[in-house]
Amino acid sequence: MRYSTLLTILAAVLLYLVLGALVFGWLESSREEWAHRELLTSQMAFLQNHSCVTAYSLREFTEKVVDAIEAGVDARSTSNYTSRWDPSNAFFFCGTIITTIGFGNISPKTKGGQLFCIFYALVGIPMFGILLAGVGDHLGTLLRRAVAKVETLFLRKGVKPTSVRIISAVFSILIGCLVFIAVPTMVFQEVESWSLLEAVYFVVITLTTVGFGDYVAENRRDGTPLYKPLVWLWIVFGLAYFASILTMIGNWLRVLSKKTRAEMEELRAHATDWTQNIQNMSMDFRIPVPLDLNDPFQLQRRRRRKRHHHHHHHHRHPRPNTTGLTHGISLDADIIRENGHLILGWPTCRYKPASEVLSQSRSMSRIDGAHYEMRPGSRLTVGPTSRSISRLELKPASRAGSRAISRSPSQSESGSFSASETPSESWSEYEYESNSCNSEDVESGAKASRRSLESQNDVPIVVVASCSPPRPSLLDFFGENLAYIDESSDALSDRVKPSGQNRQRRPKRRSMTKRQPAGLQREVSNELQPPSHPPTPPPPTS
Amino acid sequence: MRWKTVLSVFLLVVLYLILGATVFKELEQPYETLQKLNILMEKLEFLEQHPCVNSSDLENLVKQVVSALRAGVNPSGNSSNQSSLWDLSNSFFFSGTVITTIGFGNISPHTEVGRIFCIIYALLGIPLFGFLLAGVGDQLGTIFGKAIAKVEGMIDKWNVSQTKIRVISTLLFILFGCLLFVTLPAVIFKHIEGWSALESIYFVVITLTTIGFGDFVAGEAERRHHEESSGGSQLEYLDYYKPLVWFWILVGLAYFAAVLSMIGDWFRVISKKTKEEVGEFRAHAAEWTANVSAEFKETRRRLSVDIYDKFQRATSVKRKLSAEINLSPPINQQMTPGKRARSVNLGDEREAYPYTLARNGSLFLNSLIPDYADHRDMTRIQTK
Repeated sequence: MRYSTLLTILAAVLLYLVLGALVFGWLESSREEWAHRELLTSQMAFLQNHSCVTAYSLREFTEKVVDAIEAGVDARSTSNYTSRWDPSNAFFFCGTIITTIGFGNISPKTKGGQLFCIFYALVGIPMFGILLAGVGDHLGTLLRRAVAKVETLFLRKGVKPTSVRIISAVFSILIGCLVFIAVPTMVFQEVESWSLLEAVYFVVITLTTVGFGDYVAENRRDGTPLYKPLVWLWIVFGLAYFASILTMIGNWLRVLSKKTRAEMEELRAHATDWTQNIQNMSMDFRIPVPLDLNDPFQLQRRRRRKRHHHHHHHHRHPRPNTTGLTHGISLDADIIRENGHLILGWPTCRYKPASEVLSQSRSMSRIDGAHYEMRPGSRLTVGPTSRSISRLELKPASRAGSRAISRSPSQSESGSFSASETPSESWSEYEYESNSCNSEDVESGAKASRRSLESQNDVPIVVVASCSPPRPSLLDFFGENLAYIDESSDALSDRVKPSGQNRQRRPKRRSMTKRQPAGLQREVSNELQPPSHPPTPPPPTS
Repeated sequence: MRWKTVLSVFLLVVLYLILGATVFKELEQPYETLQKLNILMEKLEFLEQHPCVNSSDLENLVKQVVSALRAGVNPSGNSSNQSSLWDLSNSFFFSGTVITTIGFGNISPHTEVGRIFCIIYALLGIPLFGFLLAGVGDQLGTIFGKAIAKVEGMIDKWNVSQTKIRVISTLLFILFGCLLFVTLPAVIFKHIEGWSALESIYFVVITLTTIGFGDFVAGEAERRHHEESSGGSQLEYLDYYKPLVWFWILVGLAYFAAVLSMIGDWFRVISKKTKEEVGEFRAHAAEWTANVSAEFKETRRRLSVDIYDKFQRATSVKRKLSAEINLSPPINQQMTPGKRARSVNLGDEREAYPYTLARNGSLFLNSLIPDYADHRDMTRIQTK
């Protein structure tokens, strides 16, 4: 058994004890006060009726009577002296020892008796345990046979199996209650002059081996000599039956605990879904922020570098084998990214323009002093990101070890995975905004990331369109781009036209992305590795 | 388990009960008689000192004291210092004794609703506590298992046999458990409750085996002492004493369950060994019977062989005699007067004939008459 389960049961038992303590205290305190008041009243009456007795002497006598009672003597009767330790009572007392009932109405007072009782109990209790196991086996066998007969009768009558099982269970419980509880209750009512509740109370307290000793089958009427052996025989068989009842109640408690666990798991799953929805909404809310920046083009370059760093860092860590909504979303995003390159459609010029674009951007950064100065800043920003990711990854490991439920590790890992995905998506969204300037079209985080990927694909498509002289055309394109930025806002209006042309082609690409098989996606992911390596030194710009 | 086994265990238990009954009767009856006489003397002394009290009035007073004790009220204390039996601490402790099935009985429910609640509370609480006990038992078993493994690893270095290692580890387990769950609590109870050493150990065993007579209960004496002396110097114990006692009961019950289970296993081993010895005895008896029957058959075989040999010899002698009688007529028929060569051959045969007769006769006589003297006479006749 695990520590968490053990602690849960301990907490349940303690809670149960506190509950019982409150109830018993509330029920019994009033009667106790009443009994105490009765005693004081009787003592005062006694003192008033007998003037020669002082309060001190009465108290002294009372203490002596109490001591005598604690010594095991019944101080009431004086004429008929009957020893409590006659063979019949002694036999019954030994039975209460080995059955661990221990009424306590009589108990050993001498040192020899107490010492013998210790060893007698240690040897007798296991021996009786073996007997109880045997009797329990046979009782179970007999009961199962009777239940089987009853079940066959009901099955012949055409009753449903489920109801047959319920009827057989109720039948077995009724038989047991009748034989071991109801009949003894009536017998004790007759012989011991107890009330119904007192008899039932004695039966339950005895067969559960609690044995308070406030009621004991003592046969005060000195009736038939067979009474105590019969009582003891009833105790032997009744203990076996009650052991099975307590086991059944234990099984019911287990079923209840399992159902409770299932509900807890559902609640946790629901909470996780809600958390993911909150994260998606926060990603949507972050979209307008980049519009406030002054120089969108420079920020675009910075975000590209961060995205690349994060991309490399992400590939280094193996993905956990987990299932969840966030993971599904991330998988879709990766598929879209991979499909972006597949959309090119020109196999001969598939990867050259991408690598050349990267080399051109890096050469531009090297030429400009300002960009060169920004490199340490970008590194510093990437560092804490990776550290936070590693911290998030460490926490699920410890949680998985401590938790008993198998689902929680996967959910917590998926949570950390979604957290790591958030900054890259926000970067990609910013790039999309800077390219298309259409913030109103954004519907959700996933769609935004998809559109940003499509917008990224615009650049290689334009390059591919003029693929016959690749190098001079690339250089000319970037030169024109810089010229547009230096000029007025007319450059942006000119860029709107190629984006319009790209929109006309979108439905075809979407259909192609849906049709792509998984194998090609894997090939594309493998082919993405070359850009991660440092490229060859670029040719001179002039 | 078979009916025979159940019946044998049942008879063993009954025999054990009779033994215990006899011992307890011999030990406890004298003390009871002594106490009975003491209370009688006290009553007579009280009546002598106070002449205005009747015997019946005194008996009524005693009955009231007894009923007060049954109700759980302590009659010997002052009314002002009476602390309730059913405060939160005592009620918590009482609930613990219910679900652990110890049931001291020093306090018990007396109202009808209290008893009904107690029935339901016990039926639900005992299985719940069973789960907790199983869990604690598992943890204890794991801890002790690791400790025993370490000890066995240490003992392996001393080049001791496996059987001895197991015996030593078991003894260490028992000793350490007794030290931790029996001796240490007994010392604590002796110090706090004012019991003797035997009474403390007695309380520990009676509690952890869930017998729970209720003659000694932890915390009970503390409450009485608090009532008698109004000083609050010892109130410190009551704050954390009973929770500690309950925790000790929880862990101790798991340990004692293991000990009792171990003793049960020992009983099974002893019963198996007894069965094996009975089996060996039966095998030995069967072997002896087989030996006896084998010897008897051997004797019969030898007798039959001897008789067969003698009979066979007699048969062979008869055959030879019959063969010689048949040879005489053909010799007579072959003696024709015309052939001298044949007569010469016949002469040789005549010489050989009595010789063979003598031989056969001697053999025959030897077989029939084994006397040596007769054998000599025949030899002399032949030489003549």
